[in-house]
Amino acid sequence: MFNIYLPIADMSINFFLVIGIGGMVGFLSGLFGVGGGFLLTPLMMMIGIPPAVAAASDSNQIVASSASGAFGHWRLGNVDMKMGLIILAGGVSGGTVGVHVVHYLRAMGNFEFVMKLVYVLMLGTIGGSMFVESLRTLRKAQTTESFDTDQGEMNQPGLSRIFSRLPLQMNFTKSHLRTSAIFPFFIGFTVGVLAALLGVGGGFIMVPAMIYIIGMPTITAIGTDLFQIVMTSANVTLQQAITNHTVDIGLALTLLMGSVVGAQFGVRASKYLRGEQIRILLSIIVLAMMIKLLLDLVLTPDNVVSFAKGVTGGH
Amino acid sequence: MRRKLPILLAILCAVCLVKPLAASKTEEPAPGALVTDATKSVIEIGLRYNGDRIDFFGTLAGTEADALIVKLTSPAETVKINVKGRVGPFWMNTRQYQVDNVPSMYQIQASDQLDKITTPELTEELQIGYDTIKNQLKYHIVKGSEEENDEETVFDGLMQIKHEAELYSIDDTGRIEIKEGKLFNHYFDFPSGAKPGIYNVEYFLIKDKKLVGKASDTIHIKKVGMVAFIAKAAEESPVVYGICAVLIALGTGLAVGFVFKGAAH
Repeated sequence: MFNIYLPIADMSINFFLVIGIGGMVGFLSGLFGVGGGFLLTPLMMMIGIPPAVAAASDSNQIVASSASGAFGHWRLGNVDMKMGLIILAGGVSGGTVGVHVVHYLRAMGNFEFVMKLVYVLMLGTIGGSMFVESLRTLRKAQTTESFDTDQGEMNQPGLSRIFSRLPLQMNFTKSHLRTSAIFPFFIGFTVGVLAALLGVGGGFIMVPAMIYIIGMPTITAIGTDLFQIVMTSANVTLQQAITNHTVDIGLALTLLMGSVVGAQFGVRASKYLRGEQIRILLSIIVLAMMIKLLLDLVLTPDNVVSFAKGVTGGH
Repeated sequence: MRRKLPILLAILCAVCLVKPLAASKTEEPAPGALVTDATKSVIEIGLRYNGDRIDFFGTLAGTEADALIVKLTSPAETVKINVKGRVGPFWMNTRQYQVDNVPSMYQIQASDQLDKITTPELTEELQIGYDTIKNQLKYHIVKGSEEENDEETVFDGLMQIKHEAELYSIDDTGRIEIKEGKLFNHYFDFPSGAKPGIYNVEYFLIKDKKLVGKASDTIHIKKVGMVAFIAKAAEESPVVYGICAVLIALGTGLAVGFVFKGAAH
């Protein structure tokens, strides 16, 4: 057995287990084209990493795993820098607020509870809607019944009209649109809070919001999202290190090793599956994770007592 | 066990040549010196650390003892304990206690069953048994409000955590083997959750349920190398540590991306 001692989590853990989890999430993120932070943090908690260390180290890992993608898109000119900076301003504010919320919740002793509850709500919503949507697409493909449905791009015109009346109107030449800076800042702020609380990059919220609500072109949305993910996660990593002392660089780099290799296999595997098949698979994984976390919250715990962030240390 | 006999003999020769190490630390003028030695006195937590084991050897020759109890403890500490309660359909932490005098680690080994070789008075005097820990704990509610039987709940939960982490154990089923009434050997397993610090090993020599001598030794657990460096940096220079963590991640991410160029995104 090859164990590695994590200096911040203060525990010994099987190296291959961490690499394996990194690899599995990397594979899924390669397969589904998602960041995978929302799977990584709960999985780390399941193998015994303290929740606060899991979330903070995950943010650190996201900086690494998104860096080359962000750089690549930036070089190709897919980053709307103006939009990115506004979202980032929100992301940095949200991340900083989020880190202090984490600090407060840990002192109160209910960080783990709130984190799991937010995960349940988030994974339930995302997994559920993705499941319903892909199931519908699958059925439609099978029966070839063409009932031209409610694919109405999420009421984009209506929202655009609302945004056009909000103050702080700006031109975003790269994205070919004129809109208020308020919504991008708000969505950046929300994702920043989630990044601190859950250790996620937030692409699964940010990209649909940019495409369907703000109205950005898909490729610019992806490039700009990766840019904000690197920056927001970097800010959260730094703040977590300063405020909560919970960033385990050893854990982050070990996870990275696994995820980089896993992603290569995931990308290859994705060529053998259709889009809706991939989405239904991902939604099942997301829902399974949500159910596991929900059960943690409602089933009678094995031990009602646990160490708090202590007088003499401990996480 | 046979495999260890040559080691045992070699160590015994060595300890006979030096002055009795542990017994020299006893407070009482022992009638006969207890001679002990261990395979090591320092446990280093490095990157490959996954707990450790220390073998102890000794001889009762020259003492009148016919039984031996060994206690391994770490200095008592103050901990904060969360207690979960039901709130609607959920279980969440509803109250928090500060508990004083909790030994981080507590292991007892004896050459025979404790009730055969000691009296309740003696075990209390030597602080042997979980009841002695229970009696020394002090509970202060820090958050939330106390509920009935909370002290019992906290104690039981704490015991469960310590047992699961293999930090607490009482083994009087012959873990200490006394050969020919003189030589003894035993070992302590230090689980990976044993914190850095000074640990005391106390030897109690017993004859006819009475204490006839004692000795002690210390084991030092400390972080070394990269583990010590990272832990210290994160604690003492969090800003520098955070910036380094970000820069290392950026550098590694870009380097890895360069290696797997084209595959990602």
